[in-house]
Amino acid sequence: MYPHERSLVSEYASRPFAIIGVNSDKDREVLKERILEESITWRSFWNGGSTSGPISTQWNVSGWPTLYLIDHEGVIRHKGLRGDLLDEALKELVPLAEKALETGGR
Amino acid sequence: MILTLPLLFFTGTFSPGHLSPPLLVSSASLRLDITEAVEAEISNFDTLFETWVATYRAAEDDAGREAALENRPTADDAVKNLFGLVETEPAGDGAFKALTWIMRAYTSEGISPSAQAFALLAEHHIESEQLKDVAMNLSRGTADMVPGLLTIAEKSPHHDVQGCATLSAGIILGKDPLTRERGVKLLEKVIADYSDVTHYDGRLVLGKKATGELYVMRNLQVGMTVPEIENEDVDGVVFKLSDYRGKVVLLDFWGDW
Repeated sequence: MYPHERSLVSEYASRPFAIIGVNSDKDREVLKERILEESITWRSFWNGGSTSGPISTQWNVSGWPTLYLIDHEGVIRHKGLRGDLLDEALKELVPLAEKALETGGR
Repeated sequence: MILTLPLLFFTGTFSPGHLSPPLLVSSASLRLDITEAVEAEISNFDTLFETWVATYRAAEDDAGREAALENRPTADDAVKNLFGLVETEPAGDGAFKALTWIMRAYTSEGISPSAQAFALLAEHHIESEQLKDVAMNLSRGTADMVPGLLTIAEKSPHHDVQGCATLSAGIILGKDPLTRERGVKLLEKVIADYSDVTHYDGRLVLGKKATGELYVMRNLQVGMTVPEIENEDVDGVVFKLSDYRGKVVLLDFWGDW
């Protein structure tokens, strides 16, 4: 996942797009090193150091990675999209977000 | 291509090892014991499958593996023979073994014997406590399993088995918008009546699982506004998911493993 995510971050660098993680690793300090090593620039919620932490439990996540694609208005548009399908969905959704910005909408 | 192999192994060669020993047939009994014949049938297929796995492993490149996959043996014949055996004594331990094996068997496209096997289990083995595993494993099953699950939920004498069957039926029905309301009702029943039932050595608590499934159905469907997350980040700074409104967000539940 990292290479694809890194390429999305650079492709959409100046546009209304963000990756937000919910990280379920055990050791925060180890994770911080890995984040530097892998150039993971996006921000992540800390799930309490466990795959059964509070956020993943509430969201009923039982497989990793689990992905949600959310539009600029906060509406869930896709679940579990990866690879080319994810790229295509972003090509549709990011321009919509830009349009909303231009017209002064949210 | 290589990644699919563990699954092939599982569906092809896994045989339940925890079932009861063969029935004792006393001289006075006229009951036919099919256990040995069932085991022989399963073992025959396992041998066939292992031989094929060796061929697959010996393949030197992707093309060779593709070719091997084309020749993967299906369990069609074994399934047919097992159904024949089950017919002679559907309520015995041998039949239970045969039917649970059929439910996991890899068969040709278009042949789907699992529902038939499951219906026979629900009809002839309703008293079995082992239906707990069968019912729980069906939480990822298809809609044609729901009638059997509902029979088990209603008629099993075991509280645990009822709970697992209700949960699986609720999860399956809840996935389809057309049957979601029925699924929701079943999951609410799990929370009300079977909340403390556990499975997989306590790793799965039915009430918790049902609560999670309900949350997804009510809050995390495509087209719904995403629930707020307000939590600390990896560095300990609190932020909100809604801070990113106005942007398209890829929310990624991940771990570095």
